[in-house]
Amino acid sequence: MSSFGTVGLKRIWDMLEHCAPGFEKKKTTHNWRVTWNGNCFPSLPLGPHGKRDNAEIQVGHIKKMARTLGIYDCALAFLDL
Amino acid sequence: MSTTMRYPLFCGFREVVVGRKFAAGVELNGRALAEKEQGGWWLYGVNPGAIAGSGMDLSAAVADFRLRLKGVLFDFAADADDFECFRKEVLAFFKSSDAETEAEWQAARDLVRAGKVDLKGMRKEKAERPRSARVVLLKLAPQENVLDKGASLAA
Repeated sequence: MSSFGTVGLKRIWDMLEHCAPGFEKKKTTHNWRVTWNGNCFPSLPLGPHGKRDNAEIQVGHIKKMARTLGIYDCALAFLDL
Repeated sequence: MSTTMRYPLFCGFREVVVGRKFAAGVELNGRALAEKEQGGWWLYGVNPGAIAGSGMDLSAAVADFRLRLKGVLFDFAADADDFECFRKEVLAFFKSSDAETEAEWQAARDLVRAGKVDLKGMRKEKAERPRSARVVLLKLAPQENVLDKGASLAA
């Protein structure tokens, strides 16, 4: 999938439960901050206003988060990217 | 076979961030990897590493990257009890990187230096630009107005 493709936020949380068990997420004013295993990704987009329960997030951000957290191969396999 | 074209960039950004009873100047001289894909451009941070931006063209991707960076800095300021907490968060964020993007940046620079890759219209820098992050309390004086170094191709 192109880095411009999107994945729903709920599917991303499912992926993190699988690839980064025990991960923590915090909603800030401008981003989601995701931490796991001593690594922090503070720039996962919230998504457009009005659609934030299951916002569609561009794959480029998900790949970068997966690299930062050290779960790249697992994330791509789980999300079939 | 991947058709993604990669370009190594130096990025120098300066922001003013207001927190609880402080105004901070944040100056980040880092690196990012630009990737041209079908449909547009992505900018993946090397330092800071935990951030990405995208756009229809490279200028739009740089602008999006910078906007997202500003959002992260504003989040840090909102969470920080004081200037020192904010400074530590920013410096840790700047240092965070992943080995894969770092290696791709270096490989892309090798191709630029070998003359196999070019990015027309973008300023080139052949010298090393040391990575640095500076977070200072602003004294609210005109000499603290500093222009960005902006983005340039690491050649």
